Amino acid sequence: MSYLVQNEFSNNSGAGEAEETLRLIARLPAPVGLEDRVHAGLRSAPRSARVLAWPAAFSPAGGWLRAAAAAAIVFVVGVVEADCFTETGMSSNSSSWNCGIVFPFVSRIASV
Amino acid sequence: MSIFPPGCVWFGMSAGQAVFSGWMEIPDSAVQERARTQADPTQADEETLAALVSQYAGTLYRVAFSVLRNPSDAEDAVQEAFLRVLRHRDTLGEVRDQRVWLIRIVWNIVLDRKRRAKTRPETDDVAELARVLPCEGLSAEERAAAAQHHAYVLACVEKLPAKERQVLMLSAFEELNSVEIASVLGVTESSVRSRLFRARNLMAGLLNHARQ
Repeated sequence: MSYLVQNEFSNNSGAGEAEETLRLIARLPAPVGLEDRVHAGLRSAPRSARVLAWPAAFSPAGGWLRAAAAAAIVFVVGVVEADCFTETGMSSNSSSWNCGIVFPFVSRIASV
Repeated sequence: MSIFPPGCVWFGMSAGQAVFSGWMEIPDSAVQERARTQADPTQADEETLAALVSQYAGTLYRVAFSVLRNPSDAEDAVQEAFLRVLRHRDTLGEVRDQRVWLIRIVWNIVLDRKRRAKTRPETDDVAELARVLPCEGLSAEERAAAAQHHAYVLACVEKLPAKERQVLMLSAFEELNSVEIASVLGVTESSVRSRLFRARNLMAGLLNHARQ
């Protein structure tokens, strides 16, 4: 359906003028060579997101890099937890979350 | 040793075995095409994209120009739209109506650009319209008057609320029906119709008020 029920309100001269102007603009031809310029722009565009891409030397194909990162996280968490236990003498069922983050705030509030 | 008698051996054949044994013929061109696209799906996507550019760049330009009313800005918007498509080319196969999908992309781009740009002075529109609008059989004075009139009408269109204005602008494109406009705007078809009704009434009010 072209022009979307245009005759429905064709007695409405103001709207008709507006639609005629908009239609004139909508019918204007595209400039010559537009497609070629778009093609050229696409050819020169980067093929992949380089910032997010893995460098070739660290290709995660084998998955070893992820495994190493996971092991490093586990190691760091383990060390922090061990330090908390030794410094506060907390029992093993108290959480390291309380130890590292909540406890300093609680002690500050208590001192105020 | 096979449990099947020699005459029944083809029951257990895979398609590949059947092809090699010679009774199932596949044309060379089909094999080559399939092998090419399987070997390099990126190239197939890029060919699809190139076809989309050839087919729809003009339409997208006209949509962009209708909002931005500046040739170079409209061309930039078309370029950006196809760059977005290039980035998501692996999803091209999932798109049902590529034409409407592309118009929706460029529509969002131009609305975003227009939001960020400063308000366009009416004098710019007059000059641009005088340059681009068809002027067969018109004298220089008539052409200037027509450009001024169209620029004034466009200024009134700009005063419409955004939802009504967008529907009115998209309804000017012959190639878009109400269902497609609804799809571009992400609303229902009945919303499109009611917005168009309001837009026409408001436009009539604006232009009639200006004449009094």
